Amino acid sequence: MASSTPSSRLGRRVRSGAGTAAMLLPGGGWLLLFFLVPLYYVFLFSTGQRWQGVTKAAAFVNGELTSFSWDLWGQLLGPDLKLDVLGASGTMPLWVFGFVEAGLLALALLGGRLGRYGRFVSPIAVVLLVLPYIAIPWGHGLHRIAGFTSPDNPSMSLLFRSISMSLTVSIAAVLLAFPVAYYLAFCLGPAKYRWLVIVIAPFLTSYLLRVLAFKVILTDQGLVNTLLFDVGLRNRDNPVDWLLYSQFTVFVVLLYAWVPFVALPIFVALENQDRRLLEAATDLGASRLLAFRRITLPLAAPGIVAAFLFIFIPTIGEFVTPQLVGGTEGYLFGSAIADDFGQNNDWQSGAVLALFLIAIVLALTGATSKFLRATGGEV
Amino acid sequence: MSTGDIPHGISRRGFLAASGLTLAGLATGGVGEALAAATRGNAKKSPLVVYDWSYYQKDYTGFNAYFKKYGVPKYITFNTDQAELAKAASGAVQYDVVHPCIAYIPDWKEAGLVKEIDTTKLKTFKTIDKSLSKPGIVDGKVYGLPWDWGYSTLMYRGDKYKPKAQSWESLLFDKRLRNKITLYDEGVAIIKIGGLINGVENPNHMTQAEIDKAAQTMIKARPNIASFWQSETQAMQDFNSGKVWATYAWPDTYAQVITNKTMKGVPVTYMQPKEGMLAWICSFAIGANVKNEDLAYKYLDVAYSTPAMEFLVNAFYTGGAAMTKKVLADADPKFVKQFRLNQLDTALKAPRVWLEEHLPNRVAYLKAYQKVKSA
Repeated sequence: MASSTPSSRLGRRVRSGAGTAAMLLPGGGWLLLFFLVPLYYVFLFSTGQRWQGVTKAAAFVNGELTSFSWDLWGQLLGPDLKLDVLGASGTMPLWVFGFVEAGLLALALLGGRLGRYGRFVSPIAVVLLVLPYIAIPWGHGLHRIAGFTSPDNPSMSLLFRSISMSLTVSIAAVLLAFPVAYYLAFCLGPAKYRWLVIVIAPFLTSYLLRVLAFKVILTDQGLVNTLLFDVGLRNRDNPVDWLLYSQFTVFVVLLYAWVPFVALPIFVALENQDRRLLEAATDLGASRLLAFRRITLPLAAPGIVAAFLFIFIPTIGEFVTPQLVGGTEGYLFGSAIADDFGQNNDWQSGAVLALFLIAIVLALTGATSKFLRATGGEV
Repeated sequence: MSTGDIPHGISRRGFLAASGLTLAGLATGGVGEALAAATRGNAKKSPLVVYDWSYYQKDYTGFNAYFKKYGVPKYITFNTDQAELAKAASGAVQYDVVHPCIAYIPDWKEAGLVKEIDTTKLKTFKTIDKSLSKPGIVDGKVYGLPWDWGYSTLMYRGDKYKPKAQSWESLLFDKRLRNKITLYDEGVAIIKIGGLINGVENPNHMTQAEIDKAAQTMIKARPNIASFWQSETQAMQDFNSGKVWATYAWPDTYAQVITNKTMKGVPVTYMQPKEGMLAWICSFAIGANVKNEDLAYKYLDVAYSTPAMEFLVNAFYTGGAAMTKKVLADADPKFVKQFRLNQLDTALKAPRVWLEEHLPNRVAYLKAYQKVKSA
């Protein structure tokens, strides 16, 4: 530290014992109480050390475990996976699959350090990691080049469906939001903040209301179908029935709901860019495209990654949207957790699923937060 | 023509007027609600807590005798047997009177959630049909008293769809019904339907292999199943709006649908599938931690009274456990015949009808259903 600025002096004072306690205790205590403690209880439920029944007899009637056991974890993690890739199919133990995915993730993050061909390793690993999950939601179901399912373990199949849904939504949302954020940041003058408010205006209404509004639009006699009837593309007795209660619906609604959320961090990243860099690039003879590719995009990358994670992490456990507009097809991993804790009153099974999801999300966040920093640092 | 094949024809309003019931106003729905609101609006509140199916709470003027004398109880909604049993077992609800189906009474008793009913405290006990009462008796003691009985089957809109055959299989696997069926979100029922399609000997006593196979059958039927409903209201909304053309339905679902204003003139069939309908007897029980025991008995006494039974039959086409000659005489003969309300000796007998029984391996049915739902 070169000089002692007022802010660093303040920093030192805060780092002293009493200051640390005063700063950390309220927030930290809150987190400890309402995150870690419940998490511990959820773990107890997942291993049969706690049960819901008021008595052991009551627990037994509902098939609950009443003593320590890893059975429910075994049921989730034990069964083999079935992989269908481009028509070929095979089975694989789950741990092997997890190992491969973790390896790919490591290569994607650290590939750049692998010497001469290192810069090719990362992109290839990212493609191998992500591509099997990207889906085209059209008609009944998500269409993917690879299918990962677990015939003996529906929850695991649901998890793959959820990852697929959430990854596709995240990528689509980033692609949709980027031009909007770019336009707002670069092409509008002082009016841009007014426009920003308009972009995020839907947030001023309740999420539930916005989702339910889609029912009006997408139902069999809804706006879209009525339009198709009126222009003669569809017969009135034969509406497009997969617009509502399908994975397509869940995709559309999630995408709609999250685009403004994504636009915000990207806008901030673009807005904070030093415009002189672009001027310098132009002075040095770079075309607009080259300047965009070499300056704007790398500088915006942390914003893009942040935006991506902003959607990916919450949507992977999404259950409200599937419940309202997903029907039977739209059932996702989050729905199974919600059902177990709610309607099924099977907290033990729900606890296993919830903890597994938390583990995956933590692993992904941990891994990508490194990437966030690396991208920011390289420029 | 079998009883189930009769599409509805006469207006229910007409029937009620003709039968001279003072309840006529209820038939039009709106008026009924107003009437009920008026009767209950100024009524005092009763401390009694009743854990009951939602459609028996709303406007249930059959209980007016109780409401007037002791006030309106607090109602907690009971949606499915599975979920409510688990909820009650976790201690999440406090209730004096509960309304599980009688096949689950051994489970409620085993879990310590209901107490023995002292039948000597019930003036109306002798009117209760003995043939329906047996499943409510555990170790020689009465834990549940039968109150209502009826069927569960598919009901479809004749204006949209004409099935090739009256069967579960025909509707669940007909390509024309793709995404057009909604079923009850209750594992045991769904797995039993799969078992019926597979031709199991008895859907109440399925082996693990039969249960797994039934789940596979229902997974194959999934393209036709648009949704699983938890509340009957949701099913009726989707059915009446034409979003789905067929739904899992109880007699009361049928009653509420055909009397709905938007469904006027729409032929609706309550199907008698060739594999057999499902059937149930539901019961009243008294909570193990009952706080208002005296009121609970008073409430049950009213439950078996003639007005309560008449309302059950006339508004919901549902069978009652204390159907006196007067109740049957006042009911619409058409619906009495269709729902076999006066044929208790045969109405709940296999092979055409599979009455719900206590399932020792209920959890296996539920686990299999999770597979169907997640497939």
